[in-house]
Amino acid sequence: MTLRLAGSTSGYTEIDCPSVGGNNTLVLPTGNGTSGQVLQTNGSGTLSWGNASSNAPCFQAVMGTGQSISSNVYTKIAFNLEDFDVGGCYNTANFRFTPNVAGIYCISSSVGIITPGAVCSTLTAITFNGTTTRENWSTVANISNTYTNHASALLRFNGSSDYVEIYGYQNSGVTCTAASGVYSWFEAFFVRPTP
Amino acid sequence: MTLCDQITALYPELTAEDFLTVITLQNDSDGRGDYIKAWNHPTLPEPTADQLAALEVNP
Repeated sequence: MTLRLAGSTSGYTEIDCPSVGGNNTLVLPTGNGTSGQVLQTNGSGTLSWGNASSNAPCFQAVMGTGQSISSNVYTKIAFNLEDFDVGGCYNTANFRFTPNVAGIYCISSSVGIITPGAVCSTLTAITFNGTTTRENWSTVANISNTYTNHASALLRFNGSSDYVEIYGYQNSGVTCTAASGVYSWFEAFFVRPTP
Repeated sequence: MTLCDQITALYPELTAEDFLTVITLQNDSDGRGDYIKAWNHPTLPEPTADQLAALEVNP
């Protein structure tokens, strides 16, 4: 059975039901909703206008000040200033991102390290539940400067206990400073639900 | 004296590569400082807390 609505000048719009129709009643809402809203069901056939789900955690954090990194020590970077934190999943006390929605997330971080003018290695590491999962390192010149390493990853989170952190490393032989400002950041965003 | 300084004072033969491959030192920025997360050196035993403490007193 098809309900056909004729256009005022030409054409038509049809509302049809499946060939095996079942017994379904859908009750339309009384109003027209607002811009961007979607039609949703209560599971019993009553439809209403609602906002599309926006529970997609994402955040961006930076360092409020430089941080000392001893030579040859993987040091968790203290990204203690949030630019934004949708979903409230980033913790500025332990510098962990623990998303509360299961799914695939894009993780991105850069750590800039001010080296003393010695040829050495610097790196940025992404750790997932305490284990390094991505590491990007480079050998820097014997010129004192801020050298950055960027690491990124697509990671699957369970939406409850899985977390990610960022570590920096250098082996110049002396304690160096991880640079704040534009050199170091930590950010993540929800990509899609777990396939 | 950092933890790395203490370890290299105890074992001068260690190289920078050793700290990237068989020895992992870590600091979790939780106020507890540097610690040995993993020690997989094929010949040198992991230093004891007493050995490291003695180096702190008598560098």
